[in-house]
Amino acid sequence: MIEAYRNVLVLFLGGLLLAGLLVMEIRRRSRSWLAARIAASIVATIALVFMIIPVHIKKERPPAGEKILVLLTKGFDKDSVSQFLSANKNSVVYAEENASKPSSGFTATTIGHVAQIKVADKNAQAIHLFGEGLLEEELKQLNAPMFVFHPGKTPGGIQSIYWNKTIKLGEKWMVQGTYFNSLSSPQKLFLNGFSTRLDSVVVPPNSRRTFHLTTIPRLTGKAVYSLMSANGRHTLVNEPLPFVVENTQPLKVLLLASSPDFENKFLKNWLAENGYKVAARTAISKNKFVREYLNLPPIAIDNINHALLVQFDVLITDARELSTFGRSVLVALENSIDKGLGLAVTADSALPASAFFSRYFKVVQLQGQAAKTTRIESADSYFTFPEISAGHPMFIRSQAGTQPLFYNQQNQPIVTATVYGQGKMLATTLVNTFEWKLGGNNDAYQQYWSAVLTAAARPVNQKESWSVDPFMPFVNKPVTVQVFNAADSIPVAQVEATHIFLKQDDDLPVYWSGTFWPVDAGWQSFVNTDGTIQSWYAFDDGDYKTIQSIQKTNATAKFQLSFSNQIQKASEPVIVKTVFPPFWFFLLFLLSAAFLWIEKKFL
Amino acid sequence: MDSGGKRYIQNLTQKWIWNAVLINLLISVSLTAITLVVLYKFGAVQFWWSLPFFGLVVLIVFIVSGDWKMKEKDVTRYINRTFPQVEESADLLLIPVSQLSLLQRLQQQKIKEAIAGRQIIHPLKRKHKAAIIFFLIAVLICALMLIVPFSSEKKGIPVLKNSSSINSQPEKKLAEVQSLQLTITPPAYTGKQRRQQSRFNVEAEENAVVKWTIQTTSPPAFVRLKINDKTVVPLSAVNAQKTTWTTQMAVKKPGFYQLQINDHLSELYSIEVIHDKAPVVEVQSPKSGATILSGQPKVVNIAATITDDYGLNEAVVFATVASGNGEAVKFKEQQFPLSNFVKGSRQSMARQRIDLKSLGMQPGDELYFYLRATDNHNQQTRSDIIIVRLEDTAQLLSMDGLVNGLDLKPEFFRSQRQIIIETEQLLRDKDTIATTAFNNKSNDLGIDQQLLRLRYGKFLGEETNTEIGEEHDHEGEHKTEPKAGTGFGNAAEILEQFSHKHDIAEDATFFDPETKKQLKATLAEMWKAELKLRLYKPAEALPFEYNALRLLKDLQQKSRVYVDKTSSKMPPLKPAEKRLTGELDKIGQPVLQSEYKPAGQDALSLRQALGLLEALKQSPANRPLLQSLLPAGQQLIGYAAADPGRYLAALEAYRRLVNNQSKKSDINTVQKALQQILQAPAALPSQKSAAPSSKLSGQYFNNLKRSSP
Repeated sequence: MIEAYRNVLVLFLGGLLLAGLLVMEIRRRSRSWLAARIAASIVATIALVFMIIPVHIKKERPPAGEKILVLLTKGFDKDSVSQFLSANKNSVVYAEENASKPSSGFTATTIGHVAQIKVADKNAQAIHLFGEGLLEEELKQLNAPMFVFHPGKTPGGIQSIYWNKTIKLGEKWMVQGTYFNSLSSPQKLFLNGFSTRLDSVVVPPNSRRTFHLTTIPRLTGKAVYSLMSANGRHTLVNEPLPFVVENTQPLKVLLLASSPDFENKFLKNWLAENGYKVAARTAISKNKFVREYLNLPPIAIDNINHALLVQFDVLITDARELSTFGRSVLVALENSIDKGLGLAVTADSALPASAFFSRYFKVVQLQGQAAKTTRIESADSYFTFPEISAGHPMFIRSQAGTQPLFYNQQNQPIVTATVYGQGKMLATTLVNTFEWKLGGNNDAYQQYWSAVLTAAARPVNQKESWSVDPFMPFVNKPVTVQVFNAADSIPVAQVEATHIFLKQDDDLPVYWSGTFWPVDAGWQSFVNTDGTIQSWYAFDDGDYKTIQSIQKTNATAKFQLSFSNQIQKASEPVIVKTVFPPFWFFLLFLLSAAFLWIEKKFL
Repeated sequence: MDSGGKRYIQNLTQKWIWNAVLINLLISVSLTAITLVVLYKFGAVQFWWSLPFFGLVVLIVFIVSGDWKMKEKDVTRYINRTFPQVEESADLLLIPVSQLSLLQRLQQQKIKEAIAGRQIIHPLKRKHKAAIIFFLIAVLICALMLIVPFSSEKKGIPVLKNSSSINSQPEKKLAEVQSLQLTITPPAYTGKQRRQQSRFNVEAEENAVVKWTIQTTSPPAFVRLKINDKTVVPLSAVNAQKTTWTTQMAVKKPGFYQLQINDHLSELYSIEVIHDKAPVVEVQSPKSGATILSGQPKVVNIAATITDDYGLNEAVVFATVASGNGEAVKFKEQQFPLSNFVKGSRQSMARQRIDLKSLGMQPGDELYFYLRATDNHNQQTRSDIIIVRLEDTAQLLSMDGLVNGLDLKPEFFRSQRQIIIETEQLLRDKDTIATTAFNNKSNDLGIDQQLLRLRYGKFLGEETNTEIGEEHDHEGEHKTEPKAGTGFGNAAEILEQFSHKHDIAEDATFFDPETKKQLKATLAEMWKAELKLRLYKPAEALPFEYNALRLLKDLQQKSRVYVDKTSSKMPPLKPAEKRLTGELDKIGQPVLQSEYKPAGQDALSLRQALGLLEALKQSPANRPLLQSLLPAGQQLIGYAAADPGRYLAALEAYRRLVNNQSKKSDINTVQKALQQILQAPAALPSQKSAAPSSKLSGQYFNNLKRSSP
């Protein structure tokens, strides 16, 4: 009550004072600085009034009296932590070892692992986690009714990355990912292999870019390339990119041609020069054939039957030849393809309409006056093919269940493939690729035919295949080994000298998995059930710091989601009144009064 | 005395003007000298340029600096300014005494005395000094620039510069070696001096003689050089103490060697060979396929740059004139040396003027020529063959193949040919007729050209602004007549005259696009010709007229169609009945069998080595791994011998690896070299690996087969 009277009194006196001041200011003869003087008078009076009358402000505060566990991890924001702590006096602070030391304002207990937190603290009412976050298995040890995550700033560097871990010799190898350049100068990303720069890209300052670096590795076996980023001469990032290059095994090719032509001649020679086994039968007249065996002892190829076809990986033939096949031959062919044989047909209108493969490949003659040359485009490679003469341009109608491999200039498919049982069938309308070879474009010829034959060839029938679960397994972090085993026996897996015991999946009986923790960084061997050894790479703790940090942040953010209900209940704001410090009003008064004095004296 | 003052001033003026001129000349000479020497050093100009350039600089300097325009008034003003004693009245000295008032005379007298015997400070003194200093500096700079590059070649036996990468690295010597004196004597033709070095790594010219002289600390049993890991060259002792050993050999191929003293082998040293390059001939002008039009001077100016690394011996132009056409074509060959070619120089800027008349070339003839340069090692280089044509206007104007037996009707329109003939006549008459007549005639020709253009324009469906009738051109200069003439009373024709028709669909498709394009080009040429004629510039119109005629002739030739003669009739063939009915029982069925050695096996072992080295990083002392590197090591020796500068370090590193004495960086060194040696592998088809097939996946694929179209 007394306060209220006091306030009224003070306000009244203040108003009186202000009125007096204003009258004096306005009446003064010198009218310079009038507006400023009036403003200063008003401010001074108001400040004076509020120095006496306390001003209350409202603040949100968590419920007092309950313990809060504050956990600082790497990359936490010091300001927000100290702000939080000043609002929550009843908090216990723990800091991870690798988190930067809090310089002032608060003290924290340093811990190496979450397990070191005292049990009493662990069961706090709420846990507030600052910084990059924790791994999933560490988070599982925290059990509090409330969990709040305050993520730190995203660190600059590689944000995400992917590359092919296994390729075939001659294939293009690529690394893709996102890079965040947090610096104010452009950074250059290099793909480095054996101390040689293979590819590079520039990331502009303060921006996030996807990058795509490629090379054709020149080795077979294991390799560790590296991804480096440099800012001028300063190397900022140097991360390993391990991968394995497998040598290609030559295919066994059966070639049946209705007439001799250049296309087949060049194809046969090219395959044979590279060590591929080729058996070819070319009709030269009615019931007369030339038989050729390249890198292969002569075998009987007059009767096409299942027993013959099983010996080959691909059958290359043309539509006219297929139309001469009898019923029994077609059945044998269908069975063989079903079991994995690849069929590559040069398709045209002569394709027998009733045969099992014809419904996949509808050949259409290109209408209108066509250009003399055409340029084909591959569906998935970045290779640019040189021009080739168009001949009688045809294309294959695209339909469900077929996959186009090459397109013509009008973007119509000219090579399409389809899956048939375990085998593949492929049709092409291109009949003059030998022009590339004649024109010296060996590269284009090889690119085209390796794409076509790889797509058609019989797949290698593995008994067992395996993979490791995180794309980037780190040392001393759990790694899941997944084994697909089609055999009825129980698979046995071994990493280096350690046996891993596998658990069969409940739903998929062919799928087995087991977890283990790699101890050493670098190349690790994986021993299959049949004793074959394959390699994989475990990354060192120091590799890909930013990616590890981002993984932690994501895991922690995900972990926080499971607390969403409790957070709402617990975080009902408690509003606290505090007195606004009168010092600021005094300062304001001083400034205004000083201005008035100076104005009178000097201005 | 009264004119004495004036003379004094005049003398001063003259003296100072001379001074100013001298200063300007000094500045000009210095500027010219510096600029020319710099340009000459960069090979841009030659010294005879100095005179016109000097003239230009003098002009500029004299325009910029106006001191030499000094007048007597300026001198007196200067005296007024600098001598307070003359009391601002030096001007009085210039006025004759008779015209002066008494007071002025007294004043004149006074200042004469004031000036007399005093040294007047030269107004240009500072500039004078500055100009002299500038001149001296210029002389110094020129002298330095001209002398410095040659000085290094004149001094005795130079020490080898560390140019290549391998020579910049420190090399290890055997402990027994006290000192080495390696003398390289390049072949005489290089013009290079003998040089000495104390390093083992050799970088020598092809066929240079290299002499090793090695001082040993103690007398060894033998000293040898082991070259490329194969050849052994013994050194012989020169002195009685057996501490100085020497041998020499000519270096023909690159490679590497080791020094062997008793049983101790040194590290690998490289032998790099600097090959003599063939001369390089670059022809800047003329461009190949150039045509000399009628009226242009019948001269070919050849400008070429010929360079060689050691020196040029000879540069010759081989010219062939082809004259006549058809079967009567004749060739005449000639060769002549380039005129300003300096024998022995490394770079020559060849300039040669070929007078086509003196070669006996007629219009229509072609000149083929090329330059051949020989260096002092008898290596020759030829330039590309360059063709220059003399245009044949007579051919263009000839009526061959055009004249026919029909009676020619009078021309309502002048043909393009006629316009050309008349334009030429007009040009010939230019000096004899009045200007107005000339202009009128030119304008008339312009009108003729316009009419011709309009008529051809009709073929393209262009709108005409003048009614020009339907006259037939009996010269046959265009391929088709627009329409067949009809008589009076043709309703359609009359209608057409008064109706306004735009592009008629039929007209638009009258010609194929190619012909239309050419016709348009013809019209464009006619436009230009007409423009020039109407501007009374028939000489400039002539090239366009010729172009138009050439294009028209081309069109005409195109329209000629070859029609085959039909004579005897052949009995029709019956392919359907006859085909594949021949007896084939005697035709064999060949069986061919061949084995190919798969390509790239050598590369494959290197590729494998690259992968094995990666494994070696994790287990450094793995004997079986090192064993499997051996085939790659054998190949590496070959590469190191061929290019020691790049691969020798790798070979050494490889040896240390195999001998288990490797340093940390050795694997990287070898890997880097292998990466450089290997080509990117070609794409080859291969089998994809599928997931292990089970009953489940089998069923899946079967269902997939059934569900597809």
